[in-house]
Amino acid sequence: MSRIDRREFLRYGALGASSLALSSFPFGGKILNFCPRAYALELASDLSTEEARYYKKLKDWVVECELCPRSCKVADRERGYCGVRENREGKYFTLVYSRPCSLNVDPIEKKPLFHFLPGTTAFSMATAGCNVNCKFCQNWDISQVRPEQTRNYFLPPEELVDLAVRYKAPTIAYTYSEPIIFYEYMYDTAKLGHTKGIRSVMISGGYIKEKPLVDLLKHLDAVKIDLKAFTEKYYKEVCHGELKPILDCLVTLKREGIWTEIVYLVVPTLNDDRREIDDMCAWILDNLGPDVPVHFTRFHPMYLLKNLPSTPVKTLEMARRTALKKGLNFVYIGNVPGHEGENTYCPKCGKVLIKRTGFSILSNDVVSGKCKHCGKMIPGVWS
Amino acid sequence: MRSRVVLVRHKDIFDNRGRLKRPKVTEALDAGLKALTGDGDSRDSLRKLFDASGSVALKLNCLAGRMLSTAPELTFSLAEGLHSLGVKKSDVIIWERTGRELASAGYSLNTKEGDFRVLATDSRGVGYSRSLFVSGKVGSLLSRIMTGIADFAINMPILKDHNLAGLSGGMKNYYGAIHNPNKFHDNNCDPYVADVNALPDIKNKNRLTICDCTRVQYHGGPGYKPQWCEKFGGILLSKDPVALDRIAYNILEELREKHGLKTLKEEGREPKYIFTAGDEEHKLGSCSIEDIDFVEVGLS
Ligand code: SF4
Repeated sequence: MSRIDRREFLRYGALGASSLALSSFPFGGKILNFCPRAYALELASDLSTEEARYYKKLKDWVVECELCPRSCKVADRERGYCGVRENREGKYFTLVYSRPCSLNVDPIEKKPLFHFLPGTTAFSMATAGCNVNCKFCQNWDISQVRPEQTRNYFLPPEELVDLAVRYKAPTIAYTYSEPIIFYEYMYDTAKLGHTKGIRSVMISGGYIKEKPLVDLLKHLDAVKIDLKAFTEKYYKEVCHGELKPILDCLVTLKREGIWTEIVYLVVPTLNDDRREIDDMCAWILDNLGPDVPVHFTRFHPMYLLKNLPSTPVKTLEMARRTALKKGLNFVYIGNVPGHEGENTYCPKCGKVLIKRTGFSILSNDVVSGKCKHCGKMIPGVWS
Repeated sequence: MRSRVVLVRHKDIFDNRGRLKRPKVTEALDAGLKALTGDGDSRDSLRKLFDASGSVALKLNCLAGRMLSTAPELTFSLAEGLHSLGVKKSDVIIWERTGRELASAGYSLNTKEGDFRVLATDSRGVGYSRSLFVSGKVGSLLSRIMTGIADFAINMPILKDHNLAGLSGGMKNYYGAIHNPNKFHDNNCDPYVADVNALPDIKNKNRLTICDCTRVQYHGGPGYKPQWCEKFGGILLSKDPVALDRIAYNILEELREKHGLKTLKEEGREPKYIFTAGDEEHKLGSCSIEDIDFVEVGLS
């Protein structure tokens, strides 16, 4: 992994005039495994002024954002909760269009998407901002800041797609922070990507209104949703969000037929109750069916939740057992490299289909979308 | 202990083109400081609040542009006052969150040795703290001007209506010191404004609030809306940030009533955070009118 620091970037990047006071930015500009020599990126000298696509104008220059269920009512010169949308004299703008702060080439397994082109890479990107504020956020240094507090690159959709092509990544992943808040950028990139054979996946908390979601899905190929808990209390107190709209989002994804996987971060004492997990699995079974993969992942102390221990592996195993017993077919354990719960098992013959450790694939016995051993169709996107 | 809040109003503070007269602003500030501490010389008033060998940060509010921001006439009158009692010019730090906002309000960034410093958190070499500060429901990075650069602070807000908070006065102005103010506008900013002001670097360093009420936007804030902006010709001062906001709340409601508008409470925008700031948990000052000595000074 080669991380570009600022000096290397200046040496190799094709920099025009950048008026940003970079030393005042605590965060961002994360390019983790992305070769600077191969591609010259330009730093953004300002924030974008692309008009937002989902809002309505109220009186006295107030606007109401219609992108996510928070429905921020934003006065002139103010921003919505996500910090990346600004009202200027009654017109609403996204400030992060073409302004990513993080770029990486990641294994698709890192998203995690286990039933989507296993063993391939995803050109992964994010801008600053998020429409919730989870106390355990591991990327809070980009998600919980404003775009002027990150080092941003100027990367229009066509160049982003071009980068994915150059890096031979079949997929672009909108990830790390919350892609919903850079909706317009994601939408245009995903749409363009399809014309060049590049797929798009959204890694999201799912806090979005139905209309923009349905419009976007025409250009996406898979979605991963963080279902953070199964109680409104948790969503309110730990995430500053709501559960109901996330469940609605999942139902919409099912109805629209897009490949979806769910991640449930198991946080000790806060959402690790067996009954809560059981209720969630029952809901998934009833509303989404048995084939949606569910990943129970391990929490580590982070951001505003440093007073809790990492999730015991036996808690994750309890969650996995509960889900399997309920009738879900593909249940995984995440953030425990080498655990048997990382593997995909055939729900019919029980044989290991995809053997993983961490983000690596050790073997793959899914052939033409079927179990190599018994021929059962395995749901997912395999080619 | 009772808190004192002083309102100075000067009838002759604007010239006939609506611009502030600097000498009259200075006169009003001088009278306000003396009335606040009971001293015969405003330098003595300030001397009681600061150690002149330290640096003092003046937090402005420049969100709404030149017509509704902390007036340079007031800011530099105070800066000169601080200098006259022995604070080095370069130890007076006039600041806002961004250089863009400062420029829009008529300030130029300045780091020249021997001058008053005009800085923004986004100025080169400033930025936010590396670590998070947590207070109640708030978890934020703080401007390094508050955590590292300044020894003391004077809050210099303006008084205006705010579509979410109800009122933007003294305490709300410190939203400009944190990196994520957009996260704290729910529930009329309650208890978040109180939580932000309870952060130790704000609570302990802020010694005085001087609220520019020369123009007061009584409706349609926080942006500038001329149809609801009154030339009030006042300056509000207090050592108690809660008491100052409590009086500011009354002023705003009186103006709203005068112009036939509903109360903030009727509009669902009561600035509840003022009362939270004064509660047993926060204890940031007096929120009860009965505990406040309100002194009005008229100049002409
Ligand atoms: S997308 Fe941002 S501005 Fe729009 S409603 Fe959600 S949080 Fe508010």
